[in-house]
Amino acid sequence: MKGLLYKDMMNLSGQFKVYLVFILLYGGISIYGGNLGFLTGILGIMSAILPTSAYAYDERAGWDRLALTMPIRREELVACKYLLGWILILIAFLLTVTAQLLIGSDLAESLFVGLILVATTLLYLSVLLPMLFRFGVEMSRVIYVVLLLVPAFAVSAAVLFFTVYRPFSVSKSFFIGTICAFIFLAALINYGSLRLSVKIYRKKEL
Amino acid sequence: MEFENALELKSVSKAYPGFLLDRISLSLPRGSVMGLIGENGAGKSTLIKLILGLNRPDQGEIRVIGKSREEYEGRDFRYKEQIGVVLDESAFPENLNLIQIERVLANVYHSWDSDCYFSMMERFSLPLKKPIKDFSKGMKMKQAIGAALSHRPRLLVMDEPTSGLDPVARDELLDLFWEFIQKEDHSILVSSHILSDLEKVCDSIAFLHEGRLIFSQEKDALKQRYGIFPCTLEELDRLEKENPACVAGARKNQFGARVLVDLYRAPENIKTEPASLEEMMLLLVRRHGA
Repeated sequence: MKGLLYKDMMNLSGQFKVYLVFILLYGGISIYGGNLGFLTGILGIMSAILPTSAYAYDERAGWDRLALTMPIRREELVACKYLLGWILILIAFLLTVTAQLLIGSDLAESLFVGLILVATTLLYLSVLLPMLFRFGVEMSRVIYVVLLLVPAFAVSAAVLFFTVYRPFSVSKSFFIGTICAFIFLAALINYGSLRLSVKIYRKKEL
Repeated sequence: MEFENALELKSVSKAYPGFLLDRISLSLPRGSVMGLIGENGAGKSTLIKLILGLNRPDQGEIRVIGKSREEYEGRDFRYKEQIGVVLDESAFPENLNLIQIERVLANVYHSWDSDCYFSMMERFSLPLKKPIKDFSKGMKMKQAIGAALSHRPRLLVMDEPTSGLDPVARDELLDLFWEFIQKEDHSILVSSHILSDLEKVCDSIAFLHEGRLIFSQEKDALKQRYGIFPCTLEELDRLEKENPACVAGARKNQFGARVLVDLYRAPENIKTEPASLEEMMLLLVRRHGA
């Protein structure tokens, strides 16, 4: 698993650099302007798109065919893409919360936006990854693009909602409770998605 | 547990729409080299994928280094350390350079030998810091073969490893295969279209045609069994009438014919030339219908 994860990280290193430039640019503008909609949107897209890019690189090279002749289980190949997603989501969460704190939001508000990002991106990957393992990149492309708008839209909408309505001034505990339930549900769906992807991939002919 | 055959297939079948790999049975004795030949679409790559566990056979039994497919695909997956694989395309992550690939493989194989890998890369004069995507096909193939040998396998399975290589590079690789096979428990299964390469290194040949195994025999036995009878068209007609069983295949031209003759069934006085593997394959394909 360590080798596979390292391989994905190295494969994506070029894209990491591009995202880093965007994050720094939009991060600076967003923090300066006091509105983090753009930054959180980009972080959402990054954590949603990079695991699928890693899959696309593998597919183009025919890596899976070779990897499965090595002492690597099919389950590991699948789990690695989920693990990569979780790591990226964690990074996006930490950056979002930090940026929120920097513009003066309190911790609960910052966590609210960060957790929305975590939940939506988890849900996005939960839908997309089994489709990639089943149909491949080419056939999943349309759904891929449509679905990509979901986390970006949801996160941006959450930021807007929070900025305009200031829900925490009304009931902080209600919103935190709701979002925690949402996260729990997303994590549960993501686990189910992992199981489904493993099931699909066990039967896949290469 | 020691094993007698590096590879053992019993009545292995696999059906796809429009193609059937039909009840293939063959064995590769430990310490020998088998060449898998056949035209495009004959089923060579399909068979190799079944052996490597990439696809499941519809029926039949496959044993690799003494383990059944179910065993090395299941709890004994570490057994695959002993199988070195070179596919028809490099398949290594294209954005990575050779140093990064080494780090990936070192984390995958317990038996990984870094010194061996880097000495192979040096032997092939491959640049360590250039991404694989910038390599030529020949360079990619050399890298793949070097990587396959660097985890100390006992069985090498290769699908068209010499295609796309110039004669000098092919010769280098054949030398490498010779070195590998010097250890008595090392075995190779290699498919190739370049039959002169197989003729140099193989102990036995398995010939697939339209999903069926036409023969799987030792190379020397094949040489003893088949010969080329250059003759006139009249002589060919006479042979086909009087002794049809000995005609394994024939190619006619305006000057006469070249007939692949089964010497075990041919008349004793027939004068033949040695048949190359290439000619055997071409003429047998005609016989069995192209």
